[in-house]
Amino acid sequence: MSRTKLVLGIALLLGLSAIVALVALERRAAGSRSAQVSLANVSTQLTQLVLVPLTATTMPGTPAQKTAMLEGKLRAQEQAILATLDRLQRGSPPTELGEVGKPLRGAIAAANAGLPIWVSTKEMGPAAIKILNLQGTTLYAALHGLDDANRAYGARASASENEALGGSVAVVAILLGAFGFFYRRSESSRRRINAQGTRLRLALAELEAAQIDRAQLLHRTVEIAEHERIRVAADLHDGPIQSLTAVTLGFDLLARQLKRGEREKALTLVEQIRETLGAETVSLRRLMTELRPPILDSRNLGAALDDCALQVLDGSAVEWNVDATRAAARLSPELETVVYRVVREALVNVRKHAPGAHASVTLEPAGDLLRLAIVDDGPGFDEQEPLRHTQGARYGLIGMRERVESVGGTWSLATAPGAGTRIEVTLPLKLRADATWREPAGVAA
Amino acid sequence: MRVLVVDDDVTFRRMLVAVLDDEGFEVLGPATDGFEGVALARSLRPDAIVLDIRMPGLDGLAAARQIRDTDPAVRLVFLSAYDDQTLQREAEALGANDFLVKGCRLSELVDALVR
Repeated sequence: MSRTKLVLGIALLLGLSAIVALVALERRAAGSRSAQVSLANVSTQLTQLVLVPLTATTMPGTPAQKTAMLEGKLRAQEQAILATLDRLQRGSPPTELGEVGKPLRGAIAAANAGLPIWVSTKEMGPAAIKILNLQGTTLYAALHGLDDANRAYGARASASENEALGGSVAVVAILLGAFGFFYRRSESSRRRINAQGTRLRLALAELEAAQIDRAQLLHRTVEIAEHERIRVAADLHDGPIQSLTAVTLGFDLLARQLKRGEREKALTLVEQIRETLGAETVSLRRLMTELRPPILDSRNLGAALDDCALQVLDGSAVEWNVDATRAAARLSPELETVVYRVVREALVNVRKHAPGAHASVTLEPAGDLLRLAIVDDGPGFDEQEPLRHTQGARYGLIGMRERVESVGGTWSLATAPGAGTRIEVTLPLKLRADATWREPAGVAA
Repeated sequence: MRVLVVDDDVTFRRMLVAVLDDEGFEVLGPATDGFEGVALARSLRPDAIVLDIRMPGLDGLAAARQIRDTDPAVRLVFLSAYDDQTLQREAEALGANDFLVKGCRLSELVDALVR
């Protein structure tokens, strides 16, 4: 049986018990009220019993007729009173009622005994007055007893009513308590279910948000990759293809000059062609470096970052330092590329937007993470208005962040006008299969 | 024959001018982008124009459209790094006389200009 069913059963049992008790108390109160009414009737009948003999003086007829008439009335009254008393005694008579019955019976007997004297006396003589006094005293005692009994019954009825009321209150209280208990339990369950529901909804919302983020990240990753391909294609179009086609034309011209025996022109043209090819070799090497810096493979990330800072900032007014001495171990290739690209993008921004500033690059392991910080003390900018910068810089920041997030890292930017710029990146530490952390000797800047 | 060269790449442009000059063409310009090409075409009235397609600002196709509007008779020869059929059809639709891919032989270019 579940706890809820058990609680419901107990509440039902308590409710039924309370109702039974309430009915019993109500019946007891009703009985007391009934007895009180009966006693009130007895009082009225006794009063009439006293008054009946007094009517003898004003009754018409002979004394015998008056006696018979009065006797009949008295007998009738007596029977009515005794019947009432008997009914009360058969019920649940209070002890007082037995005491009440005795003087009543005595009063009735006395009245009967004095009856002939009243009837035979035309005027109220001393004997009749004596009898009436005796009868009156007895009746007074009886009435007093009745009054006490009546009050006792009234009190009892009231008490019963109070008990009934108390019972009612108790029943209501019990029911309310049971209801409250159950309600609290159900309310507690409801709250628990609500809390679980809320947690579930939150979890679902987080899951949906994560799915949306994942989809957006995937979309942005594809965009980045596409953007990268477009950029590489443009670089190839603008660089190698132009140079090589120029060289092709140059060879055509060279052939013509050689045919014509124009040796000096031909030598000059050969030199031009050599310069073009030499420049294009540098250009292709730069493109290759952007795609995957060879230094990452030939040395390590720390050395690559130092080389990167030299390439980007050399010749500018920016002063810099790179501290990657603790990150000299071989990271996974994708992680190295991400770090390299983020640092390069950040330093390009420093060169563009913070000329004359000091820039520092710090890379260090922190437990299972790799922490990267690129900080400059340049002019900074309003973080809420990245569009104030050139479109390229905006895409650069977005690209940096997306590149970091694509490998499960976090990226944050802290800047304000006049307060410099700080980019912090944390990445899950992934080493190459054969690599371990080690303290390198003299690798970085 | 007066030939206007329009190309944004300095290396290729310089070599093209040298080659055409060596071939005996009177080389005009050269123009370094589409806007300059349109302006020189209108002002110099060349017999032929060698146009690159991908250029900053006004590209070769857009420049050719404007040039053709004012000079229906000028020979238009596209010389692009893109070996692209769509671009080629677009160029022909604009009234281009020829579409060559960079890296072609010099003789092909000369033929396209004098045809």
